Amino acid sequence: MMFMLPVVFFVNGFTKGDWLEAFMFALSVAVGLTPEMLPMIVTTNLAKGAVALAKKKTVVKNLNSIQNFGAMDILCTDKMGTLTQDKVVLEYHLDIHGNEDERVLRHAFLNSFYQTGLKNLMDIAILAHADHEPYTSLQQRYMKVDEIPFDFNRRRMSVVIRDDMDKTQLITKGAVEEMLAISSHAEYKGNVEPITDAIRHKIFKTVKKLNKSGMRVIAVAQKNHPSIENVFSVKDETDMVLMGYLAFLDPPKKTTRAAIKALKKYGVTVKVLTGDNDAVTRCICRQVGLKAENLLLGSDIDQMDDALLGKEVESTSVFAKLSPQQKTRIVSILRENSHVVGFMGDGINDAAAMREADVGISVDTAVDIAKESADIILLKKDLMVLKDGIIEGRRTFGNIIKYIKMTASSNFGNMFSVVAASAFLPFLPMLPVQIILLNLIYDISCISIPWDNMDADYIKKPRTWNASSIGKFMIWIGPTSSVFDVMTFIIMFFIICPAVTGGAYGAPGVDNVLFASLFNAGWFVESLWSQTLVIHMIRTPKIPFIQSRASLPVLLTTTLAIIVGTIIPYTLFGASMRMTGMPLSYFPWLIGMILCYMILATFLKTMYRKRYGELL
Amino acid sequence: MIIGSNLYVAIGLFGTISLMLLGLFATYPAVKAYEKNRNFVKWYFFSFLLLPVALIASFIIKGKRKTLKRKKNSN
Repeated sequence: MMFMLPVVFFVNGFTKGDWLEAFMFALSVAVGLTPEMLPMIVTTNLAKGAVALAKKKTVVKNLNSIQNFGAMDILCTDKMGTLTQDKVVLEYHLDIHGNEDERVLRHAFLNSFYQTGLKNLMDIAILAHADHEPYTSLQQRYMKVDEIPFDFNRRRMSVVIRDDMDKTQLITKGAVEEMLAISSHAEYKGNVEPITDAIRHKIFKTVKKLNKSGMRVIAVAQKNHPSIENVFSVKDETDMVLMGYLAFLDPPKKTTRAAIKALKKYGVTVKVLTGDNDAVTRCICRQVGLKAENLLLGSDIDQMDDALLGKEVESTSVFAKLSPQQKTRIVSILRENSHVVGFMGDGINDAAAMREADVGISVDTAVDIAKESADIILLKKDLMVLKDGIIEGRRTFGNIIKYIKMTASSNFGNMFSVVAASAFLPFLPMLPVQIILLNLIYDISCISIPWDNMDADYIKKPRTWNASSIGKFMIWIGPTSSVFDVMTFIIMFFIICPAVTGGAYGAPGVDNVLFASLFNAGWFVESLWSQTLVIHMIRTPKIPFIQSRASLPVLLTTTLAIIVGTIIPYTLFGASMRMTGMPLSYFPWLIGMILCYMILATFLKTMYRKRYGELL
Repeated sequence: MIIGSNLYVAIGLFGTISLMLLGLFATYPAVKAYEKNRNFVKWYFFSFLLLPVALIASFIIKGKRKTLKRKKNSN
């Protein structure tokens, strides 16, 4: 525009001699070239997308994330709740040899009951399982003394309780490996014995067996009189007596396999990033159809530099035993590999990864920090809901890019027409006020674009923002309409206007004012027809109206714009805008030109697609 | 109908439209050559300057990659 406007101003000033009119014309061309509806179209598109998603039980917190939702090609998710039913049930409470043991449940109950941190699904499952006598009355016999909260490095948490005999006990529960690391003894049938390699081996064997059947296992340990000073810390979590373990079951949702398949169909790869152990994760992943053979553990990831991890993340779908930092690192590496990454999580440990991702997705039952970090909140914890969201995101993005590309190419084309007209015509091709009116009618017809359909083929692939594609599209498609603008100049200047005024422009006896006003009206109508039809041409790579039809609002507004614009030159309002109605002989020319325009635009669309692979 | 002082307008407008159409149709041989793994930009300028020649040439030339594959297969 910085180059174009001075050119238009000076060329018109020098050739026509009226500098004020040249200035007004250049100014109105500037207004015409500005995509002033862009903020409105983008905001309406995003708001409409948010409303459509809300109807599909998805709340959009950050409007801009709708575009990323559609562009997402990798969805990272925690295993719990999204792939599984999110109904964790305590199946077994076993001693170290795998026999049912009430003492294990009692200690686990006391730990879960007295911990004041965020109760996770396993705490809830323990409390639900022990919601009857004799467990419920335990709180009258025991008093809480202290608590050592959970953290993701220790992967365990402890409570200190005192009974009515004044005996102090530290009860700890957590991941089996971490619990074994702090336990020196194990309890079996009331006897406490040192943990030997044989016992350790037996414990791992039992846990592995449970894990392989899809159960999450945590261990419970205790220690009497942990601290003489009654001050408790992580240091007290040593030399503990391992009591046994708890096995929980959270089976996969019936819809998960179908949802993963549907996401794959739409070009979204699902990767599981979980803090759970590898055996359980493998079991669940196999059940839902995810390849878990090539699984990476958090400890493997720590050994890798970014370059190696960058390669590994491409071929690995399942990551287990991850800390929150490792989850964040994987998301970051995937983004560095030019993926648009979504992260779906609901726990504190997911918050950082959600912030790192292009789209943070959470659920309404998630912890506050997860919801705070999310861009999108699902009211239903189901991957199937995501599929609908992705489609809506792509539709929204498609309608935005459609407007940007059609406006950019149309304006680029008009630039050629205006320069040609300024250089070669003896009068202005359109008056400044007529350009503004044309711009207004075109903009009104564009209001319906957010309500337009997108072709099914467009929605199948993730769509990312690519600024360079706008420039290429503009250069390829823009001049098409310009060809027909110049053709209109020729037809109006050499055929229609002389036929009405009785001679060529400037010839003796010819009303030059009538000649110019007729010419202005002719280009006004042709310009409006071609600009409006460009909406139908560009919105789809297919043949418009035949293979792909715009939505009803778009059809109505564009038809109305064409009707209103065509009638204006015949009205008093048109006369006040210094336009004269064209003779009927103009319209066969116009229809012929528009048909040729559509054929040429289809040819160029085909060429463009062959060159760049896609239209929008 | 093209008379007197309007000759300048005629030359200008007809010249512009001819250049534009040439520019648009020059994409065809260029895309055709591009599909055969040739440089699009070079072929576009070639087509713009010598459209009929470029059009025929774009049909005649063989795809670069296909030739390589054939060589590999024959080896």
